[in-house]
Amino acid sequence: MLSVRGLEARYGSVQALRGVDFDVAEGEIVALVGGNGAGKSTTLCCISGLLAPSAGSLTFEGRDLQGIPAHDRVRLGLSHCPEGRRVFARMTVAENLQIGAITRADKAAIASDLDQIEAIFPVLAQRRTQAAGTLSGGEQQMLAIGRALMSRPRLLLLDEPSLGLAPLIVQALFAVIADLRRRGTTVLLVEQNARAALGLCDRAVVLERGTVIVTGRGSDLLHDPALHAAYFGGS
Amino acid sequence: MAPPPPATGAATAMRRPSLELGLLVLLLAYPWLPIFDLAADAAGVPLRLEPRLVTVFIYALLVLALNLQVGQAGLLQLGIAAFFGIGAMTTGVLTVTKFPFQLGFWGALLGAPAAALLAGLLLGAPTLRLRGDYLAIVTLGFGEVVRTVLLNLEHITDGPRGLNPVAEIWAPAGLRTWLAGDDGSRASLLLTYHVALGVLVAAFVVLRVLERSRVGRALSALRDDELAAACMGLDPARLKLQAFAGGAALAGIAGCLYATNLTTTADPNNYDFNNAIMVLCCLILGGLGTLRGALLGAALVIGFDNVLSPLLDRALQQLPGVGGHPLANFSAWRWMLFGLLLVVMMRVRPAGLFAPATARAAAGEAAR
Ligand SMILES: Nc1ncnc2c1ncn2[C@@H]1O[C@H](COP(=O)(O)OP(=O)(O)OP(=O)(O)O)[C@@H](O)[C@H]1O
Ligand SMILES: [Mg+2]
Repeated sequence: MLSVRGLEARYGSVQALRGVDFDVAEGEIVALVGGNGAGKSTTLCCISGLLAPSAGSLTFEGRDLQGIPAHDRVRLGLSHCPEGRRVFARMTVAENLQIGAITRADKAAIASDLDQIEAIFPVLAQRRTQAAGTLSGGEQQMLAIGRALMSRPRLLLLDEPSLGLAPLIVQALFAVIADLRRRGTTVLLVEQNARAALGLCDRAVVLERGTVIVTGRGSDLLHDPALHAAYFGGS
Repeated sequence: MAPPPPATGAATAMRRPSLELGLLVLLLAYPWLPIFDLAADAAGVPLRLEPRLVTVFIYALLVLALNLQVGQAGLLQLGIAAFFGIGAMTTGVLTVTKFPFQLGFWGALLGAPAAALLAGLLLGAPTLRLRGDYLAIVTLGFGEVVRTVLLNLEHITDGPRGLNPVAEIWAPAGLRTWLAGDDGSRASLLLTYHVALGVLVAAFVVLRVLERSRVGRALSALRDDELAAACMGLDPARLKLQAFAGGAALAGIAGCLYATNLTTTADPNNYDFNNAIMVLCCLILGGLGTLRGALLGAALVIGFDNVLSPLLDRALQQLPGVGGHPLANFSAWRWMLFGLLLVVMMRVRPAGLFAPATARAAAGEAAR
């Protein structure tokens, strides 16, 4: 579905990615893990078009993404839920969710997706008319994820969705992600909570200083002693 | 769990459409209402307010234009006076006898916004990617450049004297007699009054529709978070340019009415930075990002300057014991009072008088 080849990106003189290669197949959950500053968010930004790579190629469903601006990639079925909640603070919760579906015209399907998202995150239904900026951090995170889902993406890029959520909600969130896949959404997931992410994903890609150091099945990596020491801390 | 909080500004506006309508009817009828002939001068000549109200309408248009750019799209620009001036000057060029065009008011009403729109596109395309304060500086500079150019291109603009006479509004003779009988100058005044009011109402209605449309929601999203808006599939660059150019065009229409009302393009120094700041003050006072707030701000600030102060002046002059005293002159004190009011407002209601609940919450948050 998505293939990333030799991806390089720089911020001025800082080279953030130095040749990243990996693939995401349709229906997979792929976790992108690595330490702080490894280049995970940068990789997602390149895929969604928020950042222009300095080298390398990106192919989504057989189509070369180069030159396609971020807003048009949403219409191709890519949805990026960026790092840090970034809700539209002065708009209401309901308006935020509507904006998520602004590229779509199928009113009936939008309404049913809205119902589904409110079923997944009931707090959003309770806060419908509240300004998004006045939600708690965790509530904003749920809104950001719900909003990204409203475009009904085929590939969802999630950047640290569990940030700031209570453990119980994180569990629920991971169940939601697993459920999304069952309904045909492919997910590329960046997570600090690597242990949980590896448990959930089909495959994981481990980044370090802008390159892929290892890829493999999540459960295998979870038990790889070297990685264990480097990323997941003690036992 | 908590019940849903009270409805936002938009919903409140839906429930009270009669407020605007009532005001509109009052304004339409004002020229024929005798009850406002109150503040007569010593010779018993009443102070008719039509020309002053036209100024209020024109500034209300300017505030609506700025609201589209600053309030709805979040583009802090300080050069609105430049588009105002471009609209006025285009109206001059298109109507005075010095030039071959002589299209009359109705031609200028199309030409002025077209010229301002073009200027908006030319300025906006390269600069709108600048953020916040940088854009403010660039547009401030643009405003000064336009003013200076208008001053110095004397063979076209007649410099500080301005182009005149700008054509008055053409209307069928029957309509003119219907409005004011044989009184030709009153007919012209009433035409200007009602056309300006009509344009204002039309602009308000169009902007209200726009606000509730897909584009309006997209602009709100853009204003709150540009990066997230791009993630939703919105094209920030295009939206910004559309809002900026649209606001410029509306300011051009205001300029056209301004020159028509004065029958001259006036001294280009009228379209200076102070003017831009005054329009911004109206907007902030009324409530950034709300149409009713924009109108209210214009009515309060420009109405205060043009309508209330002269009325109070006259009232003071007629007060026994006070009249004639050099300090009994309200106009002399008005900007001091206005400054004080603005300070109090920013303490009490930083998001403006008409701000929706969501904006107030955000303003409270910003103030910490
Ligand atoms: N806007 C920027 N300007 C300059 N350098 C940047 C910018 N954004 C990221 N970088 C640098 O690029 C590198 C990769 O950053 P990135 O945000 O992709 O890391 P990450 O893997 O997402 O880290 P984290 O887990 O902390 O979010 C870092 O060294 C960072 O300092
Ligand atoms: Mg990151």
